Amino acid sequence: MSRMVLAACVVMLVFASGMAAAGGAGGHGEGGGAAEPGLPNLITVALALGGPEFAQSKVGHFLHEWEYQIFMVLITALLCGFLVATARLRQFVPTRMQALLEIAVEGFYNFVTGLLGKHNAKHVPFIGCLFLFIWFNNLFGLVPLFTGATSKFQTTIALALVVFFYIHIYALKDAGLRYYLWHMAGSPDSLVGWCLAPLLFILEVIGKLVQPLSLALRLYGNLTGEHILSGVFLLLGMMLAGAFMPHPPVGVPLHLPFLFLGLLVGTIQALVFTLLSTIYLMMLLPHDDHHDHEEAHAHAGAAH
Amino acid sequence: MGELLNMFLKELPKILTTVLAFGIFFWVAKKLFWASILQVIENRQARIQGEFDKVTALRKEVEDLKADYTKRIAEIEREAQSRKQQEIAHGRKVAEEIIEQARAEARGEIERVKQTVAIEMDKARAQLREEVIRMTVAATERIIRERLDDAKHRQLISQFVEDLAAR
Repeated sequence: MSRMVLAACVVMLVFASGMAAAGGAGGHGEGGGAAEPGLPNLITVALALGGPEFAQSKVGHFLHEWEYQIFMVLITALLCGFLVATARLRQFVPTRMQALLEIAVEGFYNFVTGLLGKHNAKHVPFIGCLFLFIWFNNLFGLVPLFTGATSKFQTTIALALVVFFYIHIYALKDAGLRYYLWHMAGSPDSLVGWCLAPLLFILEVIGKLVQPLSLALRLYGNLTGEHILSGVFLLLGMMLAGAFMPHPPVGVPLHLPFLFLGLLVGTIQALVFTLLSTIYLMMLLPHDDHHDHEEAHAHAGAAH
Repeated sequence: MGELLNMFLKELPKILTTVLAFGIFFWVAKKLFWASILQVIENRQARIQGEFDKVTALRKEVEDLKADYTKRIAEIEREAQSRKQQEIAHGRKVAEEIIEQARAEARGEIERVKQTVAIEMDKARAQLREEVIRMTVAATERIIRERLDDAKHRQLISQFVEDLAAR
């Protein structure tokens, strides 16, 4: 069985290499700029097979312009379908499949609540969705004739902005404006601290604005680098095959090791993005002592 | 800065598409996946916790019962030991009484036997004297039948026997 799966993988990779040959460079330039090597996908292959007329047409232009977003929507739809399909796995006595799913969910729940605390368990769905969205996009980038949107900066910055607004809105909602501003001013508790507060506030604001940028750039850089590496080795494989015959139907799959590397990088980067988002959220949310303080105030108020 | 802003505005539809796609995914996942699966896990945890609590309470109850049972067994054993000792003491007392009674009875029996023996000895003596008299009379009769009459004869012998008894 595993041999059959392996053989199928190799055939698909070889097919992808062949498609790369059909798609020319195998990638496409940004806005008609310099060609960026990458693994071919259904749209690049269709554009290559359709010829320059198709590429210049409205549909071709749209497909070229929105290539990654189309795949992202497709992957999101698949992901939604997958999650909806798991809806029947909610029995009290779990099946093997449900047990597996629950182990993953519970592991994630423990991971998030371990960082944020049990009282912040409401953030588990958001962080879980973030991880699944990025992970699936990363992994679909490795599936032949597919691509993941996370190797585009528009996607990663959009996700980082979502995280940015989410954590700041929840920080304001949970802690209140006073605590939020006090925290942004470096949590001053002495005269020196209050004197430095304006400076620290500015620095903190800059730091907070840089956080989503760093998240987006890290994910984009890693995924793009991995895709370019795979594309370059795919082209090298084609060139190597071309050295033995004039028009090779398939190339040597030299990029195969990088696909396995991509599997690892995709998972790690999804985890890193999620972990950092959780940590940013943890840093902004009120801590337990603040909670205790607020609760004490509330109790005192109730007593009065 | 303006160029960056223009680039951002140019890519804004794509960014918004990504945000929208993620938003829809988040909404669907939250409604159809996370809420229900976390609820199932929570319910199961609560039920398992409830069962554990029940088991703990039952175990405590059983331990209390066991402790009570052990205490009662110890009390029963102590009481049994005490009763045993009392019964032993009582038994010893009864045995001593019985022995004493037996001894008294034995002494009485001995006295009675001694009296019987004395009576029998007296009887035997009287019988023996009668026998000796008869034999002596018979012997003397043979020897001196011809010379003494019967009355004299009897007087002499009786005298002889009395002398003999006095000795």
